Amino acid sequence: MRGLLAKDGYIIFKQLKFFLVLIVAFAVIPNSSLSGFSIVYTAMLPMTVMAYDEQSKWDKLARMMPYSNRDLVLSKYAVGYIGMMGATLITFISALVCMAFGDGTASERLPAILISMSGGLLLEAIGMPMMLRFGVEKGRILFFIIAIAVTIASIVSNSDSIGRDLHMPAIPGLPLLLLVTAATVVLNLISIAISTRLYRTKEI
Amino acid sequence: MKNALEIKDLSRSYKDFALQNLSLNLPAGCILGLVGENGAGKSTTIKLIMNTIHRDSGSITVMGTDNTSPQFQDVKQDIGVVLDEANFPEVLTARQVNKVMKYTFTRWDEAVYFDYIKRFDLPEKKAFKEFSRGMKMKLAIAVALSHHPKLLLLDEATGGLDPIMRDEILDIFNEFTRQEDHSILMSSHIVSDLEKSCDYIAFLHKGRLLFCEEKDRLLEKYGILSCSREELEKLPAGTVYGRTRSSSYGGVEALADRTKIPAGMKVSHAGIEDIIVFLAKKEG
Repeated sequence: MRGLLAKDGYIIFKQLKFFLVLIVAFAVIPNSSLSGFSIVYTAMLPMTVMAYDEQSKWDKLARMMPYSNRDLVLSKYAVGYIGMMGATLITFISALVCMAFGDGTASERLPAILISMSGGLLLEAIGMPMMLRFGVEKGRILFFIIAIAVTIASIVSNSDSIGRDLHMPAIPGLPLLLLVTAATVVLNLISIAISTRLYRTKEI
Repeated sequence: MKNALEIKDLSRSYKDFALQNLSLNLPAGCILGLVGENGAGKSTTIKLIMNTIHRDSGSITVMGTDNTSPQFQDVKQDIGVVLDEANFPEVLTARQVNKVMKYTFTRWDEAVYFDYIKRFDLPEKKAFKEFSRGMKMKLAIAVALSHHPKLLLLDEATGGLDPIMRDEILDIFNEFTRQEDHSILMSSHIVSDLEKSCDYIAFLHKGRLLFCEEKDRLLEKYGILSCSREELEKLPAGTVYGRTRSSSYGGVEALADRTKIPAGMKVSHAGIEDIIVFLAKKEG
């Protein structure tokens, strides 16, 4: 899998420099919603890499190399996870700096990071099987529809005024957030199993 | 002699095409040329050998291992593949391809790889998308040869190369099979390439194997008979294969079994291309 990750890394750093700058810029902006975008955007990295793979018909060759179907699928998820970890880390450091200057408290900022992370994980869990089933072009459209829905939900849940209007707590309690995060992790495990099965039966 | 590849009764159907009951062996240390028109089933056969598509029936053993078994994953370390396109992501450079392959093949040999890069006159830092088709194919061949494979599967690997480079690549393939456990399955449209380098020729036509024979035997067995139409009609059945073609001096030419041609009739050398063209016409 290291070889696959190296290949994906070269594609990302060569083709997606602007995208990476955008992710880092959003992550350091002291605004919970924009930081959330940064994390959610990284969930789109695998999709972009898959588009380049599809263009060069890389999978046709890769399946003849000593990579297992599981490795070929997992490497794509890993690209998203690594990206999300990086964006989450930058957002977290940015939040710590903001809090050190008296901008916001841990009880406000940390749940927002957890919500964004769950959103990113949810997008990846839903998006990846769609990409493998329908191809990058059709999968991308479906992915964007879901991404917009998740982003709107994220903004709604992060907005105090809307939350009050909807009689929702502005920031959900930590146990609920941890439960949601755990649920997205489980969803990802199910998604990986589905994607591996889809990939195995897919003929390229 | 052990077989590097054993294919038995292999079938695979698509909506508009079917590979039917393909059986052939590739003895270790040999080069087998797979020839056939577009859509004859050559690429399908290579995909089935690497188990990347599903078969309807049949079995394939690669270097003694069933290619549907979990052990085949390890056998892939011993197989070098070159497809009709190079298939590397276009942003990669030859140097980056080395890094990717280093983490892919356990016996990846950087020195061998960079020797080929130099020998093929390929730039190390130029993005793959800026390569010509010939350069792309050369890079793919360099990759296939740089992890000490025992079996090479080449699908139109010499396509897009100029005649001089093709000749050099064929020499490299011949050099490769000097080791008795090294074998090559090579599909190509360029029959002269196959005639030059192959020990065995397999001819696929519309998904069926018309023959798989030693090249020298084919060249010994067949000849081009030139005669008048009346003389041709008097020949015993089984002497001539396929349809005839008009010759430049007004008579006809036909592919014939040299051993069955009556003495005194004019027979000339039949190249592999002649044999294939005549037999393909026979099948329609």
